[in-house]
Amino acid sequence: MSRSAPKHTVNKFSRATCPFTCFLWHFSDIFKTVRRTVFSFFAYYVMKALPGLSAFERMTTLQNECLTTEQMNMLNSFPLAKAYVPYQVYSEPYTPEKALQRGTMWPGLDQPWEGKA
Amino acid sequence: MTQQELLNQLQQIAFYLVDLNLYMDTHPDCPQGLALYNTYATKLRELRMQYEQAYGPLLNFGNMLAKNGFDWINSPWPWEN
Repeated sequence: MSRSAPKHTVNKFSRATCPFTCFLWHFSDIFKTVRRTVFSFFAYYVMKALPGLSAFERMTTLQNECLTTEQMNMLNSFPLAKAYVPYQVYSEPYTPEKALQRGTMWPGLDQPWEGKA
Repeated sequence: MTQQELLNQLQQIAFYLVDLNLYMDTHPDCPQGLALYNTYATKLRELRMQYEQAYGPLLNFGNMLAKNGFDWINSPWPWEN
C-alpha cells in the first residue's frame, strides 16, 4: 500500500495550512503595529489595576494623566526625603520554637504583611 | 527524643542563632544578647553531638569524623522522608 496525502488537503500553500506563510503574516509590519497598540492598552489597564505600584510609578502615571505643569513643578520643589531606622532596643525574645514559626525572634519585628496598604 | 524532634530543635536553634547574630552585629556589647548567644551556641553544639551520635553526620566535607564506615551515605536524604 502506498502512502498518499489526505483528500481534504485542498491547497497546502494557503494561509490556513502553511506554517511558513503564517509565520510571515504574523511578523508583517501592519500586524506588528496592531499588536503593539493592543498591548499598550492592555498594559495601561493592568498598571491601573495593580495595587502595589511604587510611589515613583504612581507619580509617573499622575504626571502623564492629570497633573498640570504648575502642580508638577510644586511637587518637584519639595526637598528629598530622609529615611531612618530606629535603633533596636533589647526586649524579651520569643522562644526558639515560636521564633522559627514567626520568622523573627523579636516580637517588635514581628510585623506580618497582611495584604493591606 | 525522636530523630525528627531532634532535627526540629536543631532547626529552631540554628535559626535563633542566625537572628541573634544579626542583632549582635549592631549590639556587640549587649549583655543579654551575649548571654543568649552563648547559651544557644552551647545548646546547638550539644544537640548536634547528640544527633550525630545517634543518627550519623549532619554535615559533610570533613566537618565531623566518619565512625561507622563512611556513614554520611547512610543518613536519609531530604527527599527520602
